[in-house]
Amino acid sequence: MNYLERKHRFLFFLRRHQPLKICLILSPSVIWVFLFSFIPLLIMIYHSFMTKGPLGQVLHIFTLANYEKLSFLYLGVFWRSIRLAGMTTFFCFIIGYAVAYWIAIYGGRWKNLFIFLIVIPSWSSLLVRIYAWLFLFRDSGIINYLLMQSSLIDSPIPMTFNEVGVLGCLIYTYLPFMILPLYASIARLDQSVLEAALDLGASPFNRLLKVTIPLTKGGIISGVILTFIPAIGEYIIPDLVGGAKVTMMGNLIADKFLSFRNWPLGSAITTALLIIILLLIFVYAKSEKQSGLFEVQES
Amino acid sequence: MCSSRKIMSAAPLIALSIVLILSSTLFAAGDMPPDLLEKVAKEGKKLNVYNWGYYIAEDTIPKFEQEFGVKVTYDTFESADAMMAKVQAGGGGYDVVIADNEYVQYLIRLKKLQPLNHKWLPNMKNIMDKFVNPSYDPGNTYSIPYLWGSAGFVYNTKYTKDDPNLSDTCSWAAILQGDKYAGKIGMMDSWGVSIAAALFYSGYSMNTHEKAHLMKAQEILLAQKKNVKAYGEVRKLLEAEEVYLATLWSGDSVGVSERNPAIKYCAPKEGMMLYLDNWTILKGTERPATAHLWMNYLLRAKVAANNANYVHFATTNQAALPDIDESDRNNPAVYPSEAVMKRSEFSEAFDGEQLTLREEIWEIVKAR
Repeated sequence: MNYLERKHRFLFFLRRHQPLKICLILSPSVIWVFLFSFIPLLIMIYHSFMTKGPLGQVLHIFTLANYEKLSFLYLGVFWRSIRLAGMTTFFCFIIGYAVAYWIAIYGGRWKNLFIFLIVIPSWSSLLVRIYAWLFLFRDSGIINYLLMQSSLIDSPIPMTFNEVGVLGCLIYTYLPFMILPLYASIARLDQSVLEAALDLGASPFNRLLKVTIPLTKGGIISGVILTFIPAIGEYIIPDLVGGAKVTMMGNLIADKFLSFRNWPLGSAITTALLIIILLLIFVYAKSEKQSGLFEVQES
Repeated sequence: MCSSRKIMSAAPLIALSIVLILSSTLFAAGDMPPDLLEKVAKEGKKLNVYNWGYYIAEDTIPKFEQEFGVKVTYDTFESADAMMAKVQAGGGGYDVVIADNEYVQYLIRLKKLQPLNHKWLPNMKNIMDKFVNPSYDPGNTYSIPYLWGSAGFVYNTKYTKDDPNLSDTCSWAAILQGDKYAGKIGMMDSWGVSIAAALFYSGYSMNTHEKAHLMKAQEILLAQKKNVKAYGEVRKLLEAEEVYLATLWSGDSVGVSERNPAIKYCAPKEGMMLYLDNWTILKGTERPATAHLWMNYLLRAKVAANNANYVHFATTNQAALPDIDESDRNNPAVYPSEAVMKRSEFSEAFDGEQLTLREEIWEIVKAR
């Protein structure tokens, strides 16, 4: 049996066994996700049920104590995370929708250039951008300096090391994640549908609410998820821009692992956060299911 | 002809350099026991070192490599807990690791350290008596001292004129109490330093086991939080004069004061947290002799003085004292006064309930 014959037999065998073929094609990505995402997740969940040793080592003794420790204090931090992530998503949506809409409808031949300009900042490291943000907005930063020099203000406006500063930097960081999916779905809008809405007597505002937004809901949902989920677990922005004073869930968890060597409690907080976020998405998906929004995006 | 003449003329030079190299190794290595050097040769002339960042003079490692022909792989860490995590997970292949007085105790109790062979460390004779045989490692079984320092605070004299708490005998009150410098206070993002400061200020020992004392410290830190500009990044904030006061390691304060002479270090009269860094050898190392060679090298007076002068922390090496820079030796930030030293303490290694108590305090201070 020569090589070609063997190859043909193999391909024929695959054609008759479709599921096996799919498995083979998917196997690299499945193995990757399994090894580097699923197994670490299991290790973390396992740690959350283990006992912390007196010297900060992990003792492999089953306990529920870590979950019993989740207290109202954490609830406060969790609420702050939800609030900041929610506000980030909201403002990103307001700004992002306007920008995406403008580029998609009025961008003309400059469309790609505008999208390119939005993507460019992500080419440099997030850390560099955060320090740049600090240079601009800190008390001795460029903006406060210019305002003071032009004697518009007497003392610097505190725009860093507080919640407002963290929120501003979060919006700045996550805006591209909102604009890109929105742009993709707005660009695919059928222009004639929009014209028809006006012809049938809808005011521009009504058209936006009743036609444009419902038709781009797919992009909105991807944008919201891409912004909200990473923002709620944000660690480096509250640490640097918030001066480690505006504690979010990410900072709480990092402190457990890095400052107190309390891996079990850190794992328990992470697991609890994970479950809550999954529940939120699940409830959201369920409530939206009737309208078929979690299906493939409509065009 | 021509080439052979060249060789002839170069011969004395080569001979001279061989003699120089030989003699320099012979004389310089006089403090190294011969059997140690023999063992080092058998171990493959390699060494993996794990140190704090910016905690050794730039030329120490090249000179060590040159003198003994050992190739050093050098890594640094910024957090002792990161170091612990790596060591606990299997050592990361390191032979020698630095650990402060607190973490040496954790490492000893976790059985991660290899006992030292003091016959291979003759330069231990250079160490000051008060740093030999410490309570956390009786007989220096597992560790040798390196540098020590303190955690007081710095203040910018430009903005803190005529503050009675910042006169010659300064007090933690300046940074911990009152709203005078609201929004102009920086704190290092360290629970150990912060809780110790609050305990000293309340007149308690930083190693107290009393819950009531710790609750008082929590109260002080919580009340202080509204005046704190940021936890961490204090050096940048001090240099930009965005904060006027900030807790800081003694050695770091020297660099900050050099760049801005208005900034002064305060060793508070109530006492402050001291720490002592030590070199240790990890259990299971394949190069114990080379590790001892490294330790004995760092114990040399000249090497110790060079390192201390570079990083501005205080030396533990008696023989190195004459070579310490005048400016450091007379700097109360580096070598605090006897009165303050008497009230200052080294941190014990908190474990179990004591560690949990402190963890909860810091959690509440940061999260609220």
